[in-house]
Amino acid sequence: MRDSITYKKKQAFVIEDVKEWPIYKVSQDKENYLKEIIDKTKKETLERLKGDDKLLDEVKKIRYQEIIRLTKNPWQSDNPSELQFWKKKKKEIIETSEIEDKEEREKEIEKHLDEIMNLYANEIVANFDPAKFKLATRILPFVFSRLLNAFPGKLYRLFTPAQSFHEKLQLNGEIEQIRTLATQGTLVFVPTHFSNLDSPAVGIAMTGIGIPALTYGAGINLFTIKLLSNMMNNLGSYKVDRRRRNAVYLDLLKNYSTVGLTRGVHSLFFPGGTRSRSGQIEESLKLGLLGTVVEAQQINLKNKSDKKIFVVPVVLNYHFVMEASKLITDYLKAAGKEQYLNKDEFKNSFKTIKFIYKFFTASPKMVVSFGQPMDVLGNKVNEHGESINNLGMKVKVEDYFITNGVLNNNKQRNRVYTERLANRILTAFKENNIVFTSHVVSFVAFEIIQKRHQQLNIYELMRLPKEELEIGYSEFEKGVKKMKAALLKLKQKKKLKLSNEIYEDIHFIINNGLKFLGSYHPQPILKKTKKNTIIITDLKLLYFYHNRTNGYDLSSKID
Amino acid sequence: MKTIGVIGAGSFGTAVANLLAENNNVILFARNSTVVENINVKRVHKKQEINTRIEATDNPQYLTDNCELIFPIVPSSSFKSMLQDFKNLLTPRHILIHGTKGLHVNKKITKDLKLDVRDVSTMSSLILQETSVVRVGCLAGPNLATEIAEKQIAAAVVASRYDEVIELGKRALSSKRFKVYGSNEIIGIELAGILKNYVAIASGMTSGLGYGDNARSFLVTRGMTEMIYIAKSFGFTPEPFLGIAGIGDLMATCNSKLSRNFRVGYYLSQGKKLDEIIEEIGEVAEGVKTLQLIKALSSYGFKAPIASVLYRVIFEGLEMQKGINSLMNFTVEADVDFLNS
Repeated sequence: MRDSITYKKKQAFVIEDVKEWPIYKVSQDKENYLKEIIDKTKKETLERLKGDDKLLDEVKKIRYQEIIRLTKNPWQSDNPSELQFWKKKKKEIIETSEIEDKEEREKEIEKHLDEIMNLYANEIVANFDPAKFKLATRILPFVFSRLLNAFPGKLYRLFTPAQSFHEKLQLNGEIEQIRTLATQGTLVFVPTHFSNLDSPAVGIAMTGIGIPALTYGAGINLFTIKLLSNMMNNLGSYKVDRRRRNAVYLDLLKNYSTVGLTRGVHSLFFPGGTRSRSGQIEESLKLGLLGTVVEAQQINLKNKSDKKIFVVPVVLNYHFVMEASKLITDYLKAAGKEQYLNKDEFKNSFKTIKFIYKFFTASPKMVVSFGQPMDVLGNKVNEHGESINNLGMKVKVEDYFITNGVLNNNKQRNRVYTERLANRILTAFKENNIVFTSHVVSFVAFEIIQKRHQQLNIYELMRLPKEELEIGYSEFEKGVKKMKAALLKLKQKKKLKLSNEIYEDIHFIINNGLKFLGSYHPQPILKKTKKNTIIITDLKLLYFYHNRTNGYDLSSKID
Repeated sequence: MKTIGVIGAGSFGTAVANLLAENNNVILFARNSTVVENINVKRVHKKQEINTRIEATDNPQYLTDNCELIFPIVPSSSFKSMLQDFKNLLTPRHILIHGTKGLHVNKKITKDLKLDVRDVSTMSSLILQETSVVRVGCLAGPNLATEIAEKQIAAAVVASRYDEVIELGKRALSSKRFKVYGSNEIIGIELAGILKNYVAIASGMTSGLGYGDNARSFLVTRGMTEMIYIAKSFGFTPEPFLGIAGIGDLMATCNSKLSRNFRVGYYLSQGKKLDEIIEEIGEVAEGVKTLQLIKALSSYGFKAPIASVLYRVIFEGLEMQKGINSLMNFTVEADVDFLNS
């Protein structure tokens, strides 16, 4: 059975009138939207920091951290007037702390909190401009497909009908169902994350299947990159500054998401939090933002809204990741620390364009694989949006939120539900991962080397001399054969998906895999030699691409 | 007043129903209609007087329609079939707190059985696998049914990943004579209640062989260490073993002739065969099955000398005295080495 389909044409939007899209409505009602977020955050903050001037301490701490951040770690994206704001706050807070009357003092502190939240919320908030959105959806695929057709020596093709962008982008999975659900409830897309290009890619893919614009959080520094910023500023992405780590800011961000979801805004977030450094599909998820999905569902139920929230796992599949080299180096250094955006990769628009160019000229395709939508408990939902649990039984979402006959809000319970949802998403990632020929050849080659040197740990392995990085072709071929057999079994059990090429014969798989493995990188990672051997030119990168099919217990199958 | 359900009218199930009836109305489910009639009419069952707030039924739907909080208390061997009877009636709205100390295995137990940890489930995992219920808890601790029935003072732990389940369990069960603690480590708490069973057999055996208190407390302490080693090799923390459901339950079962597992060990030491003992006690003591499972899981590499010697005594005819000698020869490095890492 073949999996992927290609849409030759963009699908019509499920709601034609952009003015009817929740994302547009929210952006038109910005003032009330922000007020709702600020009020909710304020209520929670006051509850969290009850009594004993705890709020005053918090405000002092925030002010201190923000000045340090702006002076010691400034970014181009920083608002020049912000430092003034905090310096002024410093003075005001001192004055407030000297107020003797407790009630009056608390009232003043709350005012500071309000102002801080206003500053944050106005920075975070997304814009959505239908005209710019329409322009972008028309222009971007056009630009991409033009680039695609105009590679060196064949410039004339610039003037021939372009291969449609949507032909290059293959979509796989429950697309019809997703389109149906888009009008019944709020969709939350949760993709795997390997590359900085993932969000624009998903954005374009969604437009391709006719889903109204999604909102998503993007690093504030991305907004300073010319090519991206104008696009993102008006297409519904909200700004996240990861240097701000105080609880008030983080709660505002979460509530921004929660309130948006309750208002029906389809959203996108990368639940892994950051790009996979090792090249492996996420093994754990960040629960903070994911928790807003559960909370929003509970709020909808409380408000007697029948709008259900649907979570759609998405796996992005391609032969190469632009940042692979840097990512895997970080991983091996065990940098651990969350290192936000590698500026050098995206420093200028030229490099970005070059990548996009490479991407579409060198790579045969990109496949976006959609998993079956689930409810916030991780139960699969059918085409009517009804939840079906693991036993195949219909269940009602409200039943999970009712205790002793009463629908109630319980944060601890929501946290456990979020963990449950996260586990279901991780399983769906694995099941919807599409194995490419390049993943097969890299997995087999790396495993052969690793098994030859079992006594070495991964760091020692990386220092192997060149002479050790050669594999006999027949040994390699045997490995690929075994891997193919194991993959077909896994596919039968629905544990993963396979690209069409995997069904071809072994030689085709090997040649195709070698051709596309890291085709973006300066030199091929695996090369077939005239002596009938395979040599590895970059073991680190090989390791990165090998890791993509980790976690399926394949290692033991190719001995 | 909310009505609380109890599934299973064995001696412990009946005792728990009586305990719950001090604060709540209770519907007690029994499969056997004679038992139901006994409870509803004669108001005495398993030598226990039945609280007036208890109503018995053999209709599963009557229980699930009227109760959201339900305590299933049936032997581990029939737990799965009980769940199947209730499967279509239970929804995510129901909350289940079970009181069964045993494991379910999805394979037939044979001499050479090798198990993967995925083949074995505690009762709480079984509930999650077999029903639509997600909010699950367990009741564990030194709760010998006879003493609870006699209204003696006792304590227990309600464990669940959900705080609200712990709260509901506490509120339903607590009374002047019954104190309830909470824990979020449900699997650890369940394991403590299960693993202690074979230590109780060993304790009964040493007692029957005429060893004194020194020997027995030596055995029980090392038994607890061994239980922790086993749990840790499956990724669980030692904490649950140090509380009411661990040390607490261990002290009660390893010193009490009321404990079924203790009696198995005691009779074995008196030269009786396992089959005869089972006939006399009426059902398989959980500890015997636990030993078989520990052996089948031995590839996980934990140190469990007591379990392995006991297994050889019961199933391979090793002489008891030789078994004890080999335990005394076992080299150990430290008294307590399970608290760190």
